[in-house]
Amino acid sequence: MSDQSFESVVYDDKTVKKFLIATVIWGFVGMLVGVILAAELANWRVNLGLEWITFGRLRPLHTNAIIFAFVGNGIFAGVYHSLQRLTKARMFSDLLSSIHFWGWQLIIVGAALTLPFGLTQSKEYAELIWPLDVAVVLIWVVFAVNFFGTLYFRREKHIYVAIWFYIATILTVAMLYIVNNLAFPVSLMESYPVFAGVQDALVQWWYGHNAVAFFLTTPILGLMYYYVPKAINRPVYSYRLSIIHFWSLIFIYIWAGPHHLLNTSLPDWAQTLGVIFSVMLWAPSWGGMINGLLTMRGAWTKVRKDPVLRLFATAITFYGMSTFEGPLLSIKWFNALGHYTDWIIGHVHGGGIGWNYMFLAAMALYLVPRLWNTSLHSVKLANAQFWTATIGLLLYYVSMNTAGITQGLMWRAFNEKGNLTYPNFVETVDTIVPMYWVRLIGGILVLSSMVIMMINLYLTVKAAPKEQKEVEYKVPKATWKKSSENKDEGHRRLEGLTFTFSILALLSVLIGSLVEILPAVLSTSYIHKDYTVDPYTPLELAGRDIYVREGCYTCHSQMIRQLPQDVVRYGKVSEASEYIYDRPFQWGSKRTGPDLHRVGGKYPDYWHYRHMLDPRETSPGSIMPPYGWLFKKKLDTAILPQKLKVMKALGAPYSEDEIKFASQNAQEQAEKIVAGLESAGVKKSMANKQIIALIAYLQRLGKRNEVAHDEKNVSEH
Amino acid sequence: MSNEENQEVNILESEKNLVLDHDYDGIKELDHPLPFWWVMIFGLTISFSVPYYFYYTHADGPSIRAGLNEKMHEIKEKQAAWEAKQGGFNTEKFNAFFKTEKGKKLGAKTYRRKCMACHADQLQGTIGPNLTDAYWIHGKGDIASIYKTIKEGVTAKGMPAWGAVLTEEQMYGVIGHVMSFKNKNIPGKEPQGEKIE
Repeated sequence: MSDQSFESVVYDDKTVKKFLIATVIWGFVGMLVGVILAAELANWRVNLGLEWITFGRLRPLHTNAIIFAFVGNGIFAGVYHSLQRLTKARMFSDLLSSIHFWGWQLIIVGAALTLPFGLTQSKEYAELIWPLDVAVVLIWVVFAVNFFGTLYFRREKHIYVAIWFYIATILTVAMLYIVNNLAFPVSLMESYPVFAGVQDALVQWWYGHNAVAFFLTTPILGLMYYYVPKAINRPVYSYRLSIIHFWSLIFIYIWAGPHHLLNTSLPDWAQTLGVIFSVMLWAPSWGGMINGLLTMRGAWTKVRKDPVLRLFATAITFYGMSTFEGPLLSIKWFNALGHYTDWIIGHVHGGGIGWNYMFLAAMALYLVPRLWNTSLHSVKLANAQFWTATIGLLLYYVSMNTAGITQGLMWRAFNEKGNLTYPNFVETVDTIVPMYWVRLIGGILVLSSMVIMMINLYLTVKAAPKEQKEVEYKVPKATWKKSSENKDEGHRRLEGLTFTFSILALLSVLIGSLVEILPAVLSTSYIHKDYTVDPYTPLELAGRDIYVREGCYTCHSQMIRQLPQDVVRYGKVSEASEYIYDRPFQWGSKRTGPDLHRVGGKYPDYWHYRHMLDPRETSPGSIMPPYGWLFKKKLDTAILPQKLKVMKALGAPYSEDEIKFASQNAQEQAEKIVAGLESAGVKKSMANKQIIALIAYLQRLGKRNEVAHDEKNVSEH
Repeated sequence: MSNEENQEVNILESEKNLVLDHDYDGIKELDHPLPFWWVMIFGLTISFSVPYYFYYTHADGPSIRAGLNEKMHEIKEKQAAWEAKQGGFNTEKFNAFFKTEKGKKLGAKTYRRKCMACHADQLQGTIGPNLTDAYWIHGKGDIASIYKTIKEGVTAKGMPAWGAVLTEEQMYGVIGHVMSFKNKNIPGKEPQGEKIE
């Protein structure tokens, strides 16, 4: 082709290959950690009494590894591969590509070296400590510059629907990540968030929900629009549908966060917004499913024969199922039943395994032979992978939904006396433990399917030609850039204007964010007229940080919802004004154990002492792991003045003296607690151990000073 | 590299007139209209959502708290009705029950499950007080006050209220179990409360 209107380009496929390898490795690691966690829930002894692998420490590693390491690398592989071909341009900068790849892997290693050691911010999927957050933002900016640079130098005038989704992803994730991680450092490893209590909860679930939306959904939809038509060789079903569902999806998705906080002390109006935008999200989500599945229409014979296509079809089907279940669970009645139960765990794994894993597996099986210039080692193995994963997922999904609905019904059952039918929480846990075993089997099957793929891909690459030559592609020159004339109209015109497009996408996600979050953050109406709440004493604060460190929130909530089953079981409804000093908030999202908001004063100190040492001594049948190390480790009181200082800067009314004498104050309170335990045989020397601080915090939970309206009741502390 | 080459996209005869002149790395797009049922779902969810929001936020839709208060009121009434039917501690019933084989078994079993964690296997006390000595903190160690303590609890001191958890028979059984250990003076937790002769 000697035509002057063509030029040659070499795509950077080395980076794509690297990201693909990382995807597979981290996918295996993330799933392995998931299987360990499943085993720990089936039998608490699997925690082995080791702090680093105890459920609360390991669960954040699982979620972060799956979301950011596995799916993250998968997205990058797919975006780097498809973007270059859709723009007919090499990635903007090889250096940035390299920094992006290695920087991201270093962050993952950083996460693996901090989370098991209890270094965490405790906000779900935002647990990474602040130095790692800074690194994430920097690397994300590198990715964005590389991405938009490539777009700028593109040869193709119009950007394809896949790229629309990539743009929305990059901009929204940046916004979400930065706002939710705004924090004030206490030390190199610790920080307190700038938002407290109900505001922190709202910002967190705006983030948490949209991490699912803009990290696990929109980028994968973009990849779907490229790889599905490619793999099946069929045209995309409807261009019009892709326009409508893209814009409606990104505009509506961002509002739906409060459905994670239904019936809590979040203001009613925000909850109502969360409900309706979740309901309205049903159709935009299904728009993507329809466009994916109908693109495959007319080629079903191929789908039946080809495991890669079958994985794509199954992934899209699970996407459709999860995005129907999501709005359903956002309706208050269903939410009251399903929230805090394993139903939610089943729901997210329907999306995580069904949609994300199956899709990325199909993409890897499609890409690896093409990138390494060979053919797939074994279609049989790919078939085996498909069936193992599908059966595993079904076992997982059915067992968790059964467990969740069963437990949800037990929690809310009232007997003829007007009391709870199952007042003993442990009884409702022990009922569903058999389901935890079924889930473990399902998880092991999914992990096995991953191993099958690793073997298949490894043998594929091994058989590939040793010499991997870079291919030159002849692509049309970007002659459209020279002409100032633009005949496009409507959306087609916008597809040629990437800057305007990006601004519009950003505006779409900003509207919902601002309308929901600004009023809540700026509001100062979180003061109650009937009671006051004291800031935490230094020892309580230290205990709270231990609660955060151990990941107690992964199994316990601190939120008595406005539902009779919660009030009768746990006590007075939780009020927004009780959380004003809670940084970070600890409302939790799952009750593997009971709610703890009113646990303060419910049991004597010695009960907690024994319970933390061996939960089954005080709560027969409990599946909680023992926390022996809290009885050996000394509490670091030296850092307490610094902690109080940061809290004061954020608004807690500590006096200068309280800050100055924080360490002594903590010591005195600890000695007082131990004095009360001495008759039970607890030695005086325990006063400097971490367990005492944790007890101080637990005993403080849910305490407030009721104010008689004429006289102000100032309590000692 | 043969794998990377774009094959001709497979377009059905019926779709020929729907093909747009878009071409992205060989990907073609069709101009199918929005599926009718999809538009219906979208329309229905919107027409449900808008009035729903205005009803609960700007009109007289009940607040979440009002809903809770109403349900709690019903529960309280049900509890009161049950209480009234029970008529408090029934000495006759207790005397007839706790010495039977069934009563003893139920008492021991319930004690093991609910009480032992704090009062220990021989009732000598650990977290909770020793129940085998002559010292009593709440009441005088008589049946009626033990019943009251079990049923209503002493929540400020960490003794839970078991009235909502245990059946009347279980409570009678436990009281019988406690009475059978009374004044056995098993060494355990040091005496607390007042000595009752």
